[in-house]
Amino acid sequence: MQKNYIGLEVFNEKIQIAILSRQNSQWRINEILTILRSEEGLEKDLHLIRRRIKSIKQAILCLPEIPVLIKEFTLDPSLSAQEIYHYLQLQSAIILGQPFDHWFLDFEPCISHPLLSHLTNFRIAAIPRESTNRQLEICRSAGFKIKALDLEIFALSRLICHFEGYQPEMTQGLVLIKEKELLFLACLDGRLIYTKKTSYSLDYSVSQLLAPLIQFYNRVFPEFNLTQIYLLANQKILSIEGISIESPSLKSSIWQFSLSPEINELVSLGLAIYGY
Amino acid sequence: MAINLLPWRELQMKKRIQRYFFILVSICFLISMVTLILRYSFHLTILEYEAKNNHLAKIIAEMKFPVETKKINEKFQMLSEQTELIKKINLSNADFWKIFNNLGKNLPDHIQIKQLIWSNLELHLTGMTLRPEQIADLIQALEESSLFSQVIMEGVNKDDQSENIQFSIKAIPKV
Repeated sequence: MQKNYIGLEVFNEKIQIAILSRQNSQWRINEILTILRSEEGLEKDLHLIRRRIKSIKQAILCLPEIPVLIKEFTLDPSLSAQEIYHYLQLQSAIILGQPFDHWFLDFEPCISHPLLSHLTNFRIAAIPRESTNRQLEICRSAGFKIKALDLEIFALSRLICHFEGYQPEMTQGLVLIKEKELLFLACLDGRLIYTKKTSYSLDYSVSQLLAPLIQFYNRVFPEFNLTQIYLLANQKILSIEGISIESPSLKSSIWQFSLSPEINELVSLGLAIYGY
Repeated sequence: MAINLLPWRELQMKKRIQRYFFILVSICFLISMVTLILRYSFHLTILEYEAKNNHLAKIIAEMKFPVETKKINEKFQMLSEQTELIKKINLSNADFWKIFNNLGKNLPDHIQIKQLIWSNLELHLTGMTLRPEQIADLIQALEESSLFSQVIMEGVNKDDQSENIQFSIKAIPKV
């Protein structure tokens, strides 16, 4: 039986799910669903999905509506992951502003600034434990086995490597324009260098918001200047902006298409390929 | 390793702590088991030696050694008695000459000693006198001397023709 890879995004208004399988090192999109949430609650909705797609077992979950805290900190590279974890347990109130028990957190080494090459930069992502736990419990009771809890930005930075025209060893930028917010990412080899999320209103044009962001980024990371920028926005926003550009498509050598994903569904694809 | 916000590190740490305690308990259990086994093996060895000792004691008891030992013991006792006697004899010879010298000094007048026999650590004295009170003086003199523990009159006999009184005294010297 073919193994399915599932990315699950739970919003307040909808649930987005991407079901992929892998054949001859190529990803095949089996199904992409966007289900509007009913008034009966998340558990019922998830049960419905489970009933509809019986092959679902493990899933990578993303909870985009829950606020996430992302911080970078610098530590001695000789410290082991356990030691860093202990350090975070002790210093959580200082680093994250709340005691350790308040968060679900994880960390990863990230690209250091050249001036701090003797130290190792770590990126810490933290999400409030209580609200997350509630959602997780609902997902589990609906029969989903949650393999990992991921974030939108990491899913997108993972997906950049699979875009058409992607150039390895070059710094790529990605701008995701939603209806109310704008997300900017800079990635190198699928690893996140910089991220910025700003609220977005129609009073300002996308270019007005983007220009200072890119300028700021290039000034802070001159050695990782952007060579490519992918702009992800739905057609409605682009028409308001008056921009006419084609959305990036996925590399045909990696993806075997039977469905072409919408821009809004890209995050769930990025989630599904977690670990690859 | 990609970021995973599930509390997998917490679980990993709990598992590590559990593993640590499991190893600790296992080590304690192993140590106690080894100690018990060692103690038991020592106990068995001791029991084995005890059994061997008992067996040997039984064999020794069954053999003729004790009879011979008894004979040796008897011989040894005899020898030690003889040695003791020889010592006493040696001692008594020395005493005799001391007594003899002393007797010469304390002998009352008009007493004639006819026979002096020293045997079995006893002095047998035979003599004669004309006056019976002098026999009493002799006995008193012998008793008062520090050499004799007991002085016994053995016999007195009066010769009617010569009117001499013959007497015999036994004196046991102090050991």
